[in-house]
Amino acid sequence: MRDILKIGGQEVESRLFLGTGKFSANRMIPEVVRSSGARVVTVALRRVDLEYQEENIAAYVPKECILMPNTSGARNAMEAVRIARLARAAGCGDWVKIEVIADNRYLLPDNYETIKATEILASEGFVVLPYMSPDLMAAKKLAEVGAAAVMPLGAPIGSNRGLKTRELVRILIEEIPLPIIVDAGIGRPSEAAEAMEMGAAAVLVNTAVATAGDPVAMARAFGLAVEAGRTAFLAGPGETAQYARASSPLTGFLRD
Amino acid sequence: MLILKCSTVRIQNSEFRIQNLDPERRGDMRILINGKPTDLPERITIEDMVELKGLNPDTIVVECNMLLVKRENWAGVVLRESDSLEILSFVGGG
Amino acid sequence: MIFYEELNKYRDFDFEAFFDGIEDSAVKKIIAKERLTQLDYLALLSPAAERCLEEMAQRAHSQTIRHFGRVMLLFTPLYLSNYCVNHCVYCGFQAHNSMERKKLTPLEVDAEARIIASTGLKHILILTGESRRESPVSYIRECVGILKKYFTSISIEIYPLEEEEYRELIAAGVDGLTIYQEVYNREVYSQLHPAGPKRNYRFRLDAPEKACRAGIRTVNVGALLGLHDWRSEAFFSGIHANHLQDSFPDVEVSISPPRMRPHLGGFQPRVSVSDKNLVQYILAFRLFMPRGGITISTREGKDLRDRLIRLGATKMSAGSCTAVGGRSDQESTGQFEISDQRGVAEMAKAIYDHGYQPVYKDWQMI
Repeated sequence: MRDILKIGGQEVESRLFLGTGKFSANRMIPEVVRSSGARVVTVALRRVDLEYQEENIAAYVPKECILMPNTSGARNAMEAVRIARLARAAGCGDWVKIEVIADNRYLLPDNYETIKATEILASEGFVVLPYMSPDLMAAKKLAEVGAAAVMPLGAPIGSNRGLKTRELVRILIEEIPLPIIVDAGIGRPSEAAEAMEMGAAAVLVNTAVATAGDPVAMARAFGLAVEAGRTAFLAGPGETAQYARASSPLTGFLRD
Repeated sequence: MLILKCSTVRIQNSEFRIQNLDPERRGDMRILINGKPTDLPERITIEDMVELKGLNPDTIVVECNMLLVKRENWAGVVLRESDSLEILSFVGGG
Repeated sequence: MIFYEELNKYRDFDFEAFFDGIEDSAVKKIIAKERLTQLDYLALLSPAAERCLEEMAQRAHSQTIRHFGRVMLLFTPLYLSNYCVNHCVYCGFQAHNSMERKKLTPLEVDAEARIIASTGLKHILILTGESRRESPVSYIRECVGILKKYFTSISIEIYPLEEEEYRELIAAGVDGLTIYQEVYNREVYSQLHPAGPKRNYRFRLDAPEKACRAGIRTVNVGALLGLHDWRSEAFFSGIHANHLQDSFPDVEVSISPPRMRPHLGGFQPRVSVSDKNLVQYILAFRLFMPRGGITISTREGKDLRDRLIRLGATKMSAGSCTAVGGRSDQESTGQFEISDQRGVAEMAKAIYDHGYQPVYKDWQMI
C-alpha cells in the first residue's frame, strides 16, 4: 500500500516543503528545490520596489511544484485574508499558508487571529495551512473551521533550535485528524527525521537550507532525512528493552 | 459600458470611475503607490500606469484603495487624485 | 459522530478471528506504546495477553500513580427508591420480583444522609429504579436539594433522561452520571430486557452523550459482566468511554466493571468472569485510557478490592447498602448482595495500609 500525503484532496509526492526566503541568490532556487525533492514551495507577497524591480520568484520555482504563498506581514486576520486573496488573484492557486505574527521579538504566531483567518479563507475555497503555536485547543478549532492541515512550530522561526515543542507536537499528531506539518525551527536534517519519526505528515524547512554553506547539498540532505524518518515511522519502532522479572508482585495472587 | 459624467458604477464590489469626458480638465495628479506619493498624468488608467512604470504585468497584483483590481479590469479603472495603490509581487519567503 | 455510529462499525466484527491472530510480541509492543488504538485495547483483552499480565500490571500501576497519585476516592451509594417497571431478568429490583417497594420521604433522605455524612464521605451516588410515576425527575430533584446540604458531589444512577431533564438536575446540583449499558450486544440486550422502557437500547446508549451536552462533569459507563462474553463487552465499554472523552474533552470519564452478584430472582450469569479476567480488563483499560477513572464497587470482595488499589482503581465505594433506607432499616431488601461489607473507617485504614491515601472530597461546586 502506497504511503501518500494528501492535502486538500491533492496528492503531494514529497513530505519536505521548502521555503524560498533568505537565499543569497534567487537563481539557486531551482537547483535547491530539485535537489530536495520538495513539491510544495512557499513564497511571500511583498510590495514591488518601483525603482528596482526584482525578478518574480515564482519564475524560479519548478513548474511541477505547488506554489504556496504565505501571509507573512499580516498582523491580524483581516490582513492575512487580504494577502491570501491577492495571492490567489495573482494566479497562485488555492493553497495558502497563514502566518499571522504580531510579535517581532520571537516571531511567534497569533493562534487566535490565525483561527479567524482560516475560517474565512476556508469558506472561500482556499486550501488553508495555518502556521501556529502548538496548542491542542487551537488545533482542534482550526480543524473545525476547515484547515487542510495544521503547521505547528518546532521552535521560533529562524532559531534552528530543533523540536523544542516536541511534546506538544506529539499530542497534536495523536489527537488531530489532519496532516501535522512541523514548520519553523528545524535546523538539521536529523531534526527533520525526528519530526517524521514521531508521525508528522511533513516538515517545512527554510532557514536551515537557505543559510547553509552549500544549500543544494543541504537540501538534498533534508530530502533524504525526511524520507528516512517517514520510513522509520512506518516500519514501527522495536520494543524498548524489558528487564526480566523473577516474580510477579502485582498479579502473582491470580495464579490459578 | 455606460458613460456618465463624474459618476460611479458598482461592478462586483469595486468602484470604478468612468472616463470623464470634460475636455477642460488636464494636468498632473498625485497618488500614493506603495505608500509613496507619486505624480502621474491625470486620467491615467491602471493599465497605462503599469506600462509607464515599466512593470511586468504578468508578475504583479494591484490593489486600488484596498480593493483588488483584476488584470482584465486595469484598462477600465481611471486613477484619481489621492488614490492609494498597492503593487505587489511574489518574493522569497518561508 | 455519535457513539451509536461508532458502535455500528463493529457490528460484524469477528472477535474470535482477531484474538486468534494476536501474538505475544504484539502484546508486548502495545504495552510499551504511549497511545493505544482501539484495536490495541482489544488485543490487550485477548486470551494471548493473559500471559503478559504482570507487565501490563507494572505499566498500569505506574501510569495510575503518574496521573492520579497514590489516592483512592471514596463514595457510597444511596438508594432512594426501588419502584421499577422494567423486567430486567438479572436484577433484584425487577417488576416481577415480589418484594417490598419503598421510596424515601424527604425526612428519610435526610436521615440516611446524616448517617452517611457522619462517616466523613462527601461524594454520594443516588439510585432509583425506573418509575416515572414513583420517582419522577421532580422527586429526584427534591432529594438532590436535601443532599446538597451534606455532600459536595452528587452523582445519579437512574433511568435514562432527555437532555433537558439532565440540565434540570445539573442545575439542581448533580455533577455526575453513572449509567451502564448492561450489555452492548444488541441481541442479548433484547433477550435480557423483555419488557419496560429499558427495552429501548438506543435511548439508553445515547444517555451519556445527552448528559455531557447538558453540562455534566463526570460520566461513568460500563457493562454488567457476566451477561455476555466479557472480552467484547469490556471492549465496547472502553471504546464508549474513549468516545465520550474525545467528544467531550472537558468531562471526566470513567468506567466501572461490575460483575454479577447473587440477588433476588436468582438469574445465573451466562458467562463466568474470573478474578483474572476482571484484572485483565482493568489493566487493559488503564493502558488504553491513562486518565480514565476506574470505579470498583462493593460487588467485589475485600481481598480483591485491596489488590485492585495498586492495579489502577481510582474510586471505591465504602459503607455500602443497596437497600432503600437500609442504613436506618436493616430489614429492607437490597438490589444485590454486597461482598465487601467494610465501613468507611475500615476501608480508609486498608487504603492507608497499602500506601495510598483515601480521599473524601475531590472537589466542590461553588
